[in-house]
Amino acid sequence: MLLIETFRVALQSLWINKLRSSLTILGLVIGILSVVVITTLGNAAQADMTSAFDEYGRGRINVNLLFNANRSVQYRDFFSDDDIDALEGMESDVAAVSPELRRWMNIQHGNKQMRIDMMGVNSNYNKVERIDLIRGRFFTEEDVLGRRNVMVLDEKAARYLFGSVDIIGEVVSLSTGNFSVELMIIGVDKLPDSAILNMAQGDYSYGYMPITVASRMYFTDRYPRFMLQAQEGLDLNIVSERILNLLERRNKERGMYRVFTREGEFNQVTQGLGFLTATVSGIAAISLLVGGIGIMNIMLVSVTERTREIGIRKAIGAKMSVIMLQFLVEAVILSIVGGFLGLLIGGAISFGIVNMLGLPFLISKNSIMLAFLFSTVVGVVFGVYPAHKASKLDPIEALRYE
Amino acid sequence: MIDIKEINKIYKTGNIEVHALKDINLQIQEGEFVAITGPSGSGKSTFMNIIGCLDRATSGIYILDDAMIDDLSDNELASIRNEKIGFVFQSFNLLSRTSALKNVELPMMYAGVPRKERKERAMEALRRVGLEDRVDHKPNELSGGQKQRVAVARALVNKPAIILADEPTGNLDSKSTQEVMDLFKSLNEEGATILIVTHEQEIAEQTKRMITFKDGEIIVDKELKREGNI
Ligand SMILES: Nc1ncnc2c1ncn2[C@@H]1O[C@H](COP(=O)(O)OP(=O)(O)O)[C@@H](O)[C@H]1O
Ligand SMILES: [Mg+2]
Repeated sequence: MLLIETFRVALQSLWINKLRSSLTILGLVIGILSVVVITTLGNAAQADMTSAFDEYGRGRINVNLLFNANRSVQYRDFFSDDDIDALEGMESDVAAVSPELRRWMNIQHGNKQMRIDMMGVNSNYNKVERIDLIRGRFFTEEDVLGRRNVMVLDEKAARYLFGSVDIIGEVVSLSTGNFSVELMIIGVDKLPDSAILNMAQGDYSYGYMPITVASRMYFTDRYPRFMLQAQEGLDLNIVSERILNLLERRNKERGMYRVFTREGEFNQVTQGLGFLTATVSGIAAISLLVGGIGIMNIMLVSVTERTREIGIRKAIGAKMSVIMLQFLVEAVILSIVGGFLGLLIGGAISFGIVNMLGLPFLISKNSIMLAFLFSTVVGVVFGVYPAHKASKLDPIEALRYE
Repeated sequence: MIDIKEINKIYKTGNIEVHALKDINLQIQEGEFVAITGPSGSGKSTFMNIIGCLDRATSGIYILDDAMIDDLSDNELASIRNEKIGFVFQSFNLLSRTSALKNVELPMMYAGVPRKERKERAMEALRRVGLEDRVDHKPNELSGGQKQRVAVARALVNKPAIILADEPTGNLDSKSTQEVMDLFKSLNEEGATILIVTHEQEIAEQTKRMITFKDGEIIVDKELKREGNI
């Protein structure tokens, strides 16, 4: 008999038992739905992180002085301006270097104040870290050398303190311990595009001031850390090695420093995210199994219930294969419809969540195909046994069944 | 057309054996109209099931239209049932949530008849049994007599070699019984071979040949009318 005919008969009997059919596929719908939601969210998060990485920090190397190394830190371990100049001299490897002096400070404007992560950096810093100013400018070499009392504030702090980002020329006062200074705002830095970074930052705010101003505030001309932008296309491990070699030649002990590359950090984060997504979808996939067992259960009930129908069909001339196919097709239709609904609802839910979080909505053709493939397989696997049972029924006994 | 030699049927249920048919020999020609009677438990249904290829004899030879039925596989038996046999049961055995039309189409569906032709022939068959205005009714919207006429339409729609009816009027009132019997009679006049199991004398008398079973054996086999028998 034609497959289409079997298909029509299967649809008919599923339609007759609408409520039961829908309850049967519920398990599968929820299973597919959760896998779709989890993978979509995972993919969105990964894509967001990757684009954030492309924007902030490809080719970036940080070198930090270790305060918990074998021996205690000495004055000579800190980086001097000469060290920074020497690094800058590695022109074929290094595009830009900036030392960093960093401290939590109190920032105040009128009666509003907040904690802010203040970084003393040089004018090259905007080649090391991506600085995306929405107002004003970053400080120049003259600002740094002239030790001018200027600063760049992030958008969040600007909005909190001033309720606006049009604050170029405004003066704020910064204090740490018993030292305080008045700085003029010359630039406002835009929030990152990445929704995840923003979320992770919470109410974190930051500002930049010339390293020379920071030096004077903290009474030091030595820095525990510098950031460096490697020349484009270089292997960061090799560049790191050359940097450490240079530092060694300048009497710095290798063991006292730790080198970070953003690449490494990002890879860790995205790998972790990928692993998490895979694990959680794996757990969700178990619910697909439960959904499949639900289908098998109902198909078995259905075979028993329809014993007489099977008897009639056989008496009238249905071959075993036809009966088998009929029940198998029913199971597969159930599971495909379940898969489709799961995909649809899961897609809608994840679209909603992703939109709310401001993440990109990525649903791949592959995952759609996979969802269908998987639900078909579930239908076949869990439908075979009931269908086989139906096809094996003895027609006389089936006809006698009440 | 039907040639049965030394057929035995033994049911085994645990240690108990029931010898339901004992050395049955019988021939039925095309166009016959046969009543099978006998007390309950005498083996009538067992006999009909074997004739109808729903069941197999324990021993003996059954030839239907030159085919040795005993040698055939289950799937081949299904084809024989589909092509050569039309069943009418005491309890109607219609698909309950399916319209009269679809019920009648069912045998043709398994025979691979195209949709359009199937529908036309099903309509024709329902017209033949006088139910052309009930085609879209489901069995529970039909009376017992109407249900059995749908079943007759289903049995005749594939133009089978024989129509087998096991107590087709057992669940019907006398008016419906007569309607169904009239239907069988006219079908037989048109050339159909019909076997009816019944324990009602009046019904048996409307056929042309009466075979009586007792304890798994044929005790009477007599012609009732001269005309029509070949
Ligand atoms: N499936 C079966 N298993 C065991 N015994 C059966 C079975 N079917 C029928 N019988 C027995 O075979 C005998 C004939 O039954 P049946 O052909 O149904 O008689 P009838 O139709 O004449 O009433 C009865 O004794 C019955 O109990
Ligand atoms: Mg009987």
